[in-house]
Amino acid sequence: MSPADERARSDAALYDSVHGLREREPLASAAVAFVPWQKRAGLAGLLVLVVLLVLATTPTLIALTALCTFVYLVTLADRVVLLTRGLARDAIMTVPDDLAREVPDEDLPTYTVLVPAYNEPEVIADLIDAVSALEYPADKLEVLLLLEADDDVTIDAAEAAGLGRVCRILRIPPADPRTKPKACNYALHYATGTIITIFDAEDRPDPLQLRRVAVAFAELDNEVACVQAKLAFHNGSQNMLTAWFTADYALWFNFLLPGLMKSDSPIPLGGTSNHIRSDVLSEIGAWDPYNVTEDADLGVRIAARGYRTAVLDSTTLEEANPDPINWVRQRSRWYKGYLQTWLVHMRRPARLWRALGPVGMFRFTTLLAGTPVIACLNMVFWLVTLSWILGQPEAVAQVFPAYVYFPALICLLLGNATIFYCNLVAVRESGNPQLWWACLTVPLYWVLMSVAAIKGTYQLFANPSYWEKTVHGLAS
Amino acid sequence: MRSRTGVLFVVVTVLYLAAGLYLSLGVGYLQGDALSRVADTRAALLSRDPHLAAIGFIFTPLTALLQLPLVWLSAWIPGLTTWSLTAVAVSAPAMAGAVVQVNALARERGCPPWLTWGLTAVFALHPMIVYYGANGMSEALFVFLVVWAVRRLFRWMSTDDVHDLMVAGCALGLAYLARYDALAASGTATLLVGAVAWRRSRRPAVAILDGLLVAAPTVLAFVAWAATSWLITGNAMAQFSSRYGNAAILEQSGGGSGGGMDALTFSLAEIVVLAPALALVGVVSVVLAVRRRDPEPLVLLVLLAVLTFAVLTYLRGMTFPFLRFYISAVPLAVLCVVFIAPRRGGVRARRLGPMPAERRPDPMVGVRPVQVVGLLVVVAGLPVSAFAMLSPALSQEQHALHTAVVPWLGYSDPDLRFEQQAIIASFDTERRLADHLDALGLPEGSVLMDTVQGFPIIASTKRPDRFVIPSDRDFVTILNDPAGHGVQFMLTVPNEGRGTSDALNLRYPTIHDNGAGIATLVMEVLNSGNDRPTWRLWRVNR
Repeated sequence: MSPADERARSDAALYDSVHGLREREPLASAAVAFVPWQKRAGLAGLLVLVVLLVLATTPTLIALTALCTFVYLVTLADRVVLLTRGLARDAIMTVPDDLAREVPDEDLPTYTVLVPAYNEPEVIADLIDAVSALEYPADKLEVLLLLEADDDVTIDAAEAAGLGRVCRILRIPPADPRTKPKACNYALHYATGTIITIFDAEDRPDPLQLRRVAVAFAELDNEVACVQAKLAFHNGSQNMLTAWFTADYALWFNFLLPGLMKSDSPIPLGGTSNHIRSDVLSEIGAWDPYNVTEDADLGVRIAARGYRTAVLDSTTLEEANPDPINWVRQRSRWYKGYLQTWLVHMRRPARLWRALGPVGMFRFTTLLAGTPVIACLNMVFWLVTLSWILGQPEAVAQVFPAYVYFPALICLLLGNATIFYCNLVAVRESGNPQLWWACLTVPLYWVLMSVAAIKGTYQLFANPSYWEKTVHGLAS
Repeated sequence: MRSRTGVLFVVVTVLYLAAGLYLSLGVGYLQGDALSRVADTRAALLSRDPHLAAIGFIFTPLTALLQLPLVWLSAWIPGLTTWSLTAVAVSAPAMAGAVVQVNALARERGCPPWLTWGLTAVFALHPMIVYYGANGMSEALFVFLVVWAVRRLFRWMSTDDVHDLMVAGCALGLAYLARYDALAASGTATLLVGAVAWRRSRRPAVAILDGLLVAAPTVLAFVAWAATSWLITGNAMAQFSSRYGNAAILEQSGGGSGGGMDALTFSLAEIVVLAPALALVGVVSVVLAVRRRDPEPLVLLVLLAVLTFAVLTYLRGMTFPFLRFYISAVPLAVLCVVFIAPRRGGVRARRLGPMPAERRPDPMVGVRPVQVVGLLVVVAGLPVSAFAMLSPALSQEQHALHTAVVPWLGYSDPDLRFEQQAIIASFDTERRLADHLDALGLPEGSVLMDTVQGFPIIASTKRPDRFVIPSDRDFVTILNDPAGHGVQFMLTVPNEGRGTSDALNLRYPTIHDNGAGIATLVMEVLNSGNDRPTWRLWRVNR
């Protein structure tokens, strides 16, 4: 290919990676946070609420409190159902080591691993370790290190390290938005594998993961478009925050995701280690560069198009964010992205309902809209509870008549206790018993979550596509 | 196997229900505590100020809460509460649940079918178990929940399945909401799980975590109950310290023990008559467990702890001389025989834990005769328990069963027969009083009384909303000025014994004697029941 052709190809790929989804299917893109009808509906709802609050303050507040309590209870009950299903031994797809190794090299599918990185020269060494540890035939494996073309430090570090046979650098031409999904979309134009996966540069995937996925895809039916591996942290004991985060992930990836899989509900994919069939990926339109949790969005799109995601018992170790500020930035991005994703898919609610069914729709809403909204609401109710404990103000008493008060009391006691208990179960079953104390102090983590949720929700309105970069390499 | 368990459950439930219906509708014999709970539940739903808190904080709430749906129906069918049937509807399936757990535990342990079903039958037909399955008391739920926890802990010993820990923990937490004695069971289970987990893993974190999983639900139940109690009554431990609480009742009725050797002897006698074989089968199972190096029987410590708790509290003079406080001796003896059986087969887990223990089959040599003897001695204990239940000295609460169920057994003492007839007639007077007041066609809130002795009236009346009772949030206001709040009648009891805690007596100390200047006597109703007060009905002066 001549340099001119090469250039044209790159330009086309870049254009497609930024604008492709938005132009082909504008309603699937989060380039605009709210479509006009959503804006109008939202403003109308707000207006009605304000009018009601002015005209009938107490009844409206009572209704809102009752509604919130109901939502809390329903979400809680559903979480318990998911956990119970996820706890069954067969909830997660398991491919034993010998079965994974047995597959002859020639029967394995071609694989592309995408490793987006930006301004992270320090993680190159980790990446090389992780890639060389993967047990997969070199002629079927392609590892693309996606670096922004102007990210000289990382490119220099990578070139100096010498990446070896399977790994090569793909320079992403500089253009906004500088997001991970844009880089991945660009890379899709160069990727040759029939299965595509993403790892972060500092990830340490289970060396047999790619083989296990290959076996899983061969065993599962054609409707399965994606296999999500479990994520866990290697620095859970570094400090209090990483301990909480580890317990959080233990519950999410070991039990709630398998529970979702068993319930045929849409699975918001985790940031890395999701293995997707490339034919499906191009059919349903890859990643949305304007969505800040493009993985969750893709997970929902997979479900909305009638495909399924399986959860595989193979762990990728990541680095838990040990710094509270950095953690809040990362979590606020996730919360914002969840809301973006919910809004995007709710643009055609009837169509989504037909695709997901009532239960799938309910789970989609509680997971993607419910998670951030509830985390925001928590702060409100904590403050209400605190004010009640401090002074028992009459205003609070009025908003909680007996029929709201008792369900709310149940929610307060049983709800919090259930989440504590779920965390304890999760750390036990994920082999982290030393984190029991983190489970007992987890309310402090909830405060951080709430702060992140409020920040993320605010940003959804103020700056919808802004990507809060997470700094890696802070683990000692 | 699942369907067989279902059949067992249904058959035993029907048996206990039938016994309950016979006792209440056939003989009219009700247990006061059960009826009192029924009345509280009714007040929570159907009084003139229905609110959940009216369920009260003296008794633990689980038995009452489970009755809510049926009690609600009593608005149309008052007989459901008059005869305590809503309580029987809870206790019968609960005790049947305990039977199912005993059966399942014997099967999972590896008992041969004849032993499994023999022990199931002994437990199910033990007169104390039948009676408490049939009489609507909270013992049924308590026995079920504790035996369920014991079985799950037994499973956990080999599976290390987190499900077993969770269920055991939750069962014990619920058991606390059925009876306070569960604290002993829960504490023991926590220590046991912690110790076993530590021995297996040698990691303190594992022991702490597993212990937490068992203890957490009880801690929650304790905190939740105390907090709710505190939020609503301003007293976190109402059951112990309020004027209606345990300590107060003991003081008013003077029923506590004097402590010392007498108390200890009494407790031991109660245990011996409930489970005469206990010492024998207990020793045999301990010896066998040691020889087999079998940790599974350790789970029986949970039941033993409940029993010890009962003995100690009586010794300290904190409870009444009631046979039912030792009811856990019955499952304990039966389960001792279960653990005489050698371990056989594996226990199926929903999710094997990180450290499952292999169940090595124990030697079978010579064990069969021991099992036969074990079964025979527990069977032989049944008539002993049955006779003991008819003894006024050993079985204060049950001995009227003599007159109620087996009058043909004969009486040595005519006074005793008279007393038993009076016990059976308890609440008869209140039922008729309720009928009388119902017939007056009074408006809402027109009769003022305290439920401390008046609970059978609330349970029996067609219209609980006609009564002003202490659970009403405006009770004190109305008590201070009955005439000004539309009260037409007041019901009083003598200002003595438990009557001293009656709110009307506290507010107007002479009211039962002379109407305290605010009311005129309409009639006095002598009580035909045993240990029940003389009622006086007063018309409030305008």
